[in-house]
Amino acid sequence: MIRPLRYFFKEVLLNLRANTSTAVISTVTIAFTMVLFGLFLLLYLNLNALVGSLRQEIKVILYLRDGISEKEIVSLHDKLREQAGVSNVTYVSKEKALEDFRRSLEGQDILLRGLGDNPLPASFELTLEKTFQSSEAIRRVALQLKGLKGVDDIQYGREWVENVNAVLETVRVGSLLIGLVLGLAAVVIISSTIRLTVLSRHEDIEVLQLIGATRAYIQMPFLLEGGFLGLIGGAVSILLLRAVYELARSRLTETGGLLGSAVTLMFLPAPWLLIFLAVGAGLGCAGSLLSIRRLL
Amino acid sequence: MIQLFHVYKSYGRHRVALEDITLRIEKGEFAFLTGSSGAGKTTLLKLLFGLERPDSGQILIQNRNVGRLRESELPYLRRTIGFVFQDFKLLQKKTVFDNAAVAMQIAGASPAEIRRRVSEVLGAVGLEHKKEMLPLMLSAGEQQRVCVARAIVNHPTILLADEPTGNLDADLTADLFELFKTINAKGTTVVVATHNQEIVSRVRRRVVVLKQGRILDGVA
Repeated sequence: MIRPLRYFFKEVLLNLRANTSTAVISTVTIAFTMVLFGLFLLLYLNLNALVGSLRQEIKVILYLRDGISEKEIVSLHDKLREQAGVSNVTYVSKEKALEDFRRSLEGQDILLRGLGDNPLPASFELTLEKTFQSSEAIRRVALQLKGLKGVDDIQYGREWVENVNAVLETVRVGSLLIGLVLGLAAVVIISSTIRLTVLSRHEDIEVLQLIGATRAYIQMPFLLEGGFLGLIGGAVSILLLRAVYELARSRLTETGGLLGSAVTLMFLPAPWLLIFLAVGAGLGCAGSLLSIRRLL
Repeated sequence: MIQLFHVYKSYGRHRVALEDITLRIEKGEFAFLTGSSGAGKTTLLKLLFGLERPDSGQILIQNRNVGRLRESELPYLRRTIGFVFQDFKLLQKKTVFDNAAVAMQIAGASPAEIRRRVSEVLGAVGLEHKKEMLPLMLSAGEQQRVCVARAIVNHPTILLADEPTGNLDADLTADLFELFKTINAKGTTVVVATHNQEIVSRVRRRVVVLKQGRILDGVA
């Protein structure tokens, strides 16, 4: 296999040299396609990270009825800790609730002056495990807890969770669809570009067939050429995406971070970069194959 | 050995190229296919090389039924048959050396083997000093010799030549047939399609005469 490989690579280089402009068009097409797809991917990954971090702040709050005994509180605390999906349970007494409330109103104490007895209820703040942070899972946990003895009311940011999930899903599906459409477009464009090369070498191909070359032998240099252009296109797209990322990151640093959260903008992780190169090469090969299967 | 049994080939309804051809060419034989233009010489060679398929009849080459070979099997048949084309069919962007070498590369020969054998055949056709040239830099006769070099480089069991003297002067024609005789003497079956009666009578080998797609003479 090594011997023909040398010939194939030599053919690819000769071909690229002879058809530099079409090769550049193919590479730019793949790079452009993958940059667009990459931008959606970056958007998705960063939104996902942001949502992940915001989700950690999602808490289910169980307000306790007034007059609940300490024994009941301890028993409830134990039950909550054993509840599936609950990762952390914090008890907030009536006093602590009032103190927190006062702190949140610092400078506006006047509002609390008319307050007689402490009207705030004691509560349990529950943090949920990662797998229980979807709106459906939160709703299920809340339903289960509602019937517990001593629980007066339950609150969780249901609407907020559902909105965030919907946005995330839209971005995910959108990026997949756009990736698919752009990918197909790239395959068609590459196919046309490679077809020009195949047509320009039509006589050579005929000669090779006459002297005993198999279909695979004839197709291989074209496949390698497509794959090589795709690989270069993928690499160029990564460089362009990095440039866009750096620009966005510097802008965000100036404006104080992503939605004021501690989450920093992330770039495509290393495995994704490899996938990007592989997808680029794959698109190039697919384009070549489409074209040579039609002509050979 | 080449055997044809009641082979018919036509192009469309009204153009009969070959009609009821039954022919046997022994291993190591040297045979001419002669006849005027349109007699069916080239069609017969194309059938032997698997470039065309017969409408009916059987073509056996080394006991393989050529007409029934799958498309994917044809390349392997062609590696055992050298073909000297009338219009040379050379790779125009490749050097003389590479044109001959590519046939060996396809057959899977090693680079050392290719270097040795290609130099040998280019020497045999008198073109070793022009091995780095492109076909367009050569005369028609020289291009014909590159085509011969490529056809014999893989030690074919059969050598087919379609009007190989069409572009050659008398001296080069004589040289070419000396080369064919040498190749034939080493055991290769040689079948040459030509309308050049002078060379046919000078070389004095078996002659199969075709006329309007039928064999007139030389079946046995």
